[in-house]
Amino acid sequence: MLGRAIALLPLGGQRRHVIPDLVEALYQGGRRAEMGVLIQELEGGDDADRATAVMLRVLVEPINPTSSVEGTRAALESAGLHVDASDPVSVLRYERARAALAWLAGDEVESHDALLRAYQIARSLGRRDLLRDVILPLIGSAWFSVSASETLELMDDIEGWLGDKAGPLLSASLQDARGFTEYLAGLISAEEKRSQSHRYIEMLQQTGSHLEAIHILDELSFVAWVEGDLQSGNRSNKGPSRSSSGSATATISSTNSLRRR
Amino acid sequence: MNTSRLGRPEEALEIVAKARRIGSEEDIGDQIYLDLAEAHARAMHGEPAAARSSLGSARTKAAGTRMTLMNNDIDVAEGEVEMMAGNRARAMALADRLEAQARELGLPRYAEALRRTVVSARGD
Repeated sequence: MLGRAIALLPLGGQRRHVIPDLVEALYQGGRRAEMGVLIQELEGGDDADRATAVMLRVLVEPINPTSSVEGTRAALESAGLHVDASDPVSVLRYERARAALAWLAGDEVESHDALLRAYQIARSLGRRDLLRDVILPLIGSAWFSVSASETLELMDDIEGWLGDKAGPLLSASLQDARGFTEYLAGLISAEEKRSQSHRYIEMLQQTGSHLEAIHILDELSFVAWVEGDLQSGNRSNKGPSRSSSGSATATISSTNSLRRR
Repeated sequence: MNTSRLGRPEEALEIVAKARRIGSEEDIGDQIYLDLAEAHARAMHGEPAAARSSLGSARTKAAGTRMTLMNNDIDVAEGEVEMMAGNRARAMALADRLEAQARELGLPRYAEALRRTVVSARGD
C-alpha cells in the first residue's frame, strides 16, 4: 500500500515523507533489493531527510562494509542533530539505530538505555507496531546487566501493555525469555525451562524460523552448563539437522557480534 | 570450550582452528570466544604461557566493551587457566568476584555455575 502511495506522488518532500515507513516495511518483508534506491532518494532531500537516510541504513544494515562501527556511530550522532524532536516516530527510529550500533560496538548499557527510550516513546504513543524489532533486544540487553527483578518487572510491563495483541510468536518469545530469567533467578527448575524451550523450538521450526531455533538451542546449552552437565551442553550445541559451516557460524555469532576498527 | 572442559583439549584446538577458518576476523565476539577456548585447551595441555597469551588476546579485543556475559566469560576462562596452572589464589579471587556480582543481580544459579566452573578446573 505504501508502495502504491509513493508511486502516485511526484518527486519531492511529500514523497520523501513516506519513504522511511516504506523502507522499514520492505525490510521487514525481506525485500532488501528495493530499499537502496529509496534511501538514495531520501539522501537527495534536506538535512532531516539525509539524517533519516543515515538511520535507515543503520537499521537495515548495521555492519557496513565501507565504514567501521565507530565511523557509522559518528555519522549517526551527526544525523541525530537533525532529528525533529517534536516527531516521536523519528526520535524512536533514532534510538533504535543508536541501540543497534551500541550493541555492535560492545556497549550493552547504551544499547539497553536507547531501547528503553524507544519502548517508552512507543508506549506513550500507544503504537505497538513501532516495536516490531525492539521488544526482544530490549529484554536481551537487560540480561546479566540489570537485576533479575528489574528484568522481570520490565517484562511484566511489556506483557501488560501488549495484552492479547502480541500474537503467538511474540508471546512464545516473551514466555521463553521470561523462563530464562526465572530459571537463572532460581524461580523455576531446569526441567521446566527445558520443556518450555523444546515447545518453543518446535514452534519455530514449524514456522521456518530455523536460525531462531538454533539460538534457543544455545540457550539450552547454557542451561546445561549452569546445571554442570557439559555433555548435554555439547549435544545441544550440535543441535538438530543443520548444515555444517553455516550453523557453526550462526551458533558462535549469537553470543555477540562486535566489529570495531 | 565445552570439548576442552570435557577433557579433550586436542579436539578442542582442532575445532578452534576450523572455526577460525570459517569465522570472520572482524567479528570480535567470535574471535574472543575462540581465544578463550584456545586458552582453556592450552592450559589443559599444560601450556600456561600459551594459555595466558590467548587470554591476553581476548582481553585486548574486549577492551572498552560493556558486555557483562562476555566479560564474565573471559574472567571465568582466566580463573580456569590459573586454577590449572596452580595459581589457586588468583583463581579463587576471580571466582569470588564473579559469584558476588551474579548474586547481586539476583541470579543465584548463574552465580553457582560461575564459581563451580572455576573451582572445578583440572588440567590433563
